[in-house]
Amino acid sequence: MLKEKLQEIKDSNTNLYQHLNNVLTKILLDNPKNAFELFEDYSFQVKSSGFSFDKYNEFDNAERTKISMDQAIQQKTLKLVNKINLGTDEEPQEATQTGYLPNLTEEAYLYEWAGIGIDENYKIFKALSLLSVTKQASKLRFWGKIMAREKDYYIAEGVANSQVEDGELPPEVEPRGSGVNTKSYWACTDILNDKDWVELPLITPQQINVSRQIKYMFTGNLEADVITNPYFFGKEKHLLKAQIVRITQSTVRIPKGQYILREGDPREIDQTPEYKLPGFHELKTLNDWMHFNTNILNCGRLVHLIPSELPDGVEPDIYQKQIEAADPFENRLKQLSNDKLPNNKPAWKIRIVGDTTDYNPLAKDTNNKVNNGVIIIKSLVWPGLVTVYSNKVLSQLYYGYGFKATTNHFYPKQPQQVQTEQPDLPEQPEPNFPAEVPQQQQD
Amino acid sequence: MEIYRIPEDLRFVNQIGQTLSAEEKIKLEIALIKLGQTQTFDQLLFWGRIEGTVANYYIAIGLNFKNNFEFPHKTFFYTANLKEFQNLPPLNPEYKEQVETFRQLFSGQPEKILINITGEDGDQPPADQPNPDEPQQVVKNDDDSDVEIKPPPKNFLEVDRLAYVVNAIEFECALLPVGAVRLTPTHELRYNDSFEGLNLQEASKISNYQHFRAPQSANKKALIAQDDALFHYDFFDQLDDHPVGQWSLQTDSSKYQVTIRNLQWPGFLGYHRAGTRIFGYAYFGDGIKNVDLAFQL
Repeated sequence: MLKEKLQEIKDSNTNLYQHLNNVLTKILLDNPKNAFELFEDYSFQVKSSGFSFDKYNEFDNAERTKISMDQAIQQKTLKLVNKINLGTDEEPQEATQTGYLPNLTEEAYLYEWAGIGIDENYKIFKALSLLSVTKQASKLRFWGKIMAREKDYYIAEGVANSQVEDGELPPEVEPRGSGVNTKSYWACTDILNDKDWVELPLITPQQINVSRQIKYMFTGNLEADVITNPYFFGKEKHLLKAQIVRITQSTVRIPKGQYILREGDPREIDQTPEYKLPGFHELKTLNDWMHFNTNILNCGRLVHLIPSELPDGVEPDIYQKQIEAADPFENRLKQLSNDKLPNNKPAWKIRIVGDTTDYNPLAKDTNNKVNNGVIIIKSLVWPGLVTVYSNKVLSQLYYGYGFKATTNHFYPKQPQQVQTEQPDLPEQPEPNFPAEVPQQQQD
Repeated sequence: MEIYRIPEDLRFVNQIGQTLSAEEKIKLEIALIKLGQTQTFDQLLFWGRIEGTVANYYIAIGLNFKNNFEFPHKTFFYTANLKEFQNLPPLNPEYKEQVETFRQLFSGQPEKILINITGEDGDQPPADQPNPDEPQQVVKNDDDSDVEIKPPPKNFLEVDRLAYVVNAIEFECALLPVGAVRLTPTHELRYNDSFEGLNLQEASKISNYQHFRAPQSANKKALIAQDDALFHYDFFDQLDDHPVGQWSLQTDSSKYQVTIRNLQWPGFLGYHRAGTRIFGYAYFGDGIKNVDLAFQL
């Protein structure tokens, strides 16, 4: 009697009696510990998956989620990870020469001690070596990653092929290879796509100065317009390059003594002759490090611009002294311990992590002990900038959003007041000349 | 982040460039297990790491689902030396506006004084506060039945600021994929055992993720109070869009591992591996809110 009653309550596929049968069968088969709490769950699952107890042998209980990846992504990943092949599959062509590229996977291990995790570092490394071959870039290294709203930028730093032509440049722009445009930078949002590496353009001093006044979150599209006040003349790729250059110029660090000032020209530096990278114990404090690059001047260049036409009566030397006094250089090779944030706190954070015991070396005749400790220096002015040093390997990386740390709130500059229009001049009646007969009535 | 899955889930955190070093992982696991033995929670998660100038703070969160109506009870713990976790102090709403103006980094010393009230270090205490050196003022009620004692004013320590920041981040950012949790008939929250993960298309839509906090908006509050709420999965607030664009959803190159980052709290990320039951959230940053975001977009 009950069975018929239950069989009457039905849905399109099954009736209530059948459904209760199925649910109870599934529970008996699975035998979970908390069947009471999961009872509604089972009922829902049975309804949605159509489990039936007379066909339970054919039912795949586990329903393993199928792992699948887009075909195109599979192929691209494999192509990236395999040996570089410049030709097609049928006619493989090996890469003949690649410029120097530090081993990112080894350095990733050091960065892990600093708390910085480079995601997919092997893929990035392969993408960089592909870039080095296709664009003939030398001295390439992974500069870092700038996070943005829609897609992140992976940035590579290097020296571009010298055959690139730039055309005519305005005089205040420092040409490729000098000043702020010394190194070239490539940005990429998709490391699987080797055509995605775009070289960032040369930048003007005006762009550097404006970038100092704005705070912008990148979108991930290099050609996006940058709408800010004061207006930034350029697209997102110009702003990206400007930020990268600012970060690099103020933060590259080297151990003290690796370079010395050139005599007679204190703004140039030379490598110290017969210099060996010091061991662990000599680099433990901020005093042992110094800046490598010059700072960017207030005018947005690295070197002052001497205009070709000077005003009358001014000697070139005196003119140079004048502008240098107005916009002074900072000392080259200054120590890190002197840097301070605006609120007088130190601008760098140095930590020592890892195993810092001294080990005797394998060879018996050297006195140098081996120390695997890792020295980490993090910048507090540009948060995200990290330098690591361990066992003669020195490396630097930036992982961040691309702006300076600020203690005050950022208020954009107000646009200038729109000036009121000049009032119209009051209309005057037309002057009435005495009637003049026009004289051209002749034929 | 589940404790037993910390090494694997760090791969998601790598997308914003953070990770835990080998030393940190070992010490953290031991400290978390110790914490789990002294106090019983339904679930103990690793919440994240806040970097300071001298030391870092590591935060854990304990969730109690049972016997809590509609939303589990969250308890926070912190440690600066990775030896032992301690309770985070309760929030004091008096200092809320002041804390939001702090823009300098944490130092890593929990006992550091940030707002000085009691007059140590030679500062003058405000005139309306009782002098702590005098004996406690005892104010009696009219009928002498209750005795009101004014507690001595306390300094605002860095650990109090930490409590604010952690609670603020948890409130504004903690997230889950839709379908990952459900209500039982008694309106308690449980993880959904039949959750199989969002598929590739769903995982890249931000509307498929919801806040992990007691619902604040009116329609969600009404939804969760209904009796048939246990058949719905989206009874939490949708991810806020004020300011517009504060959430950034990105994947890695395989398109499978989705991270959802918050741009107001750079360092926060929620993650999910499409097609699996792996999901979670964590904060790895310096604990400073990016209040300029509205000007940056």
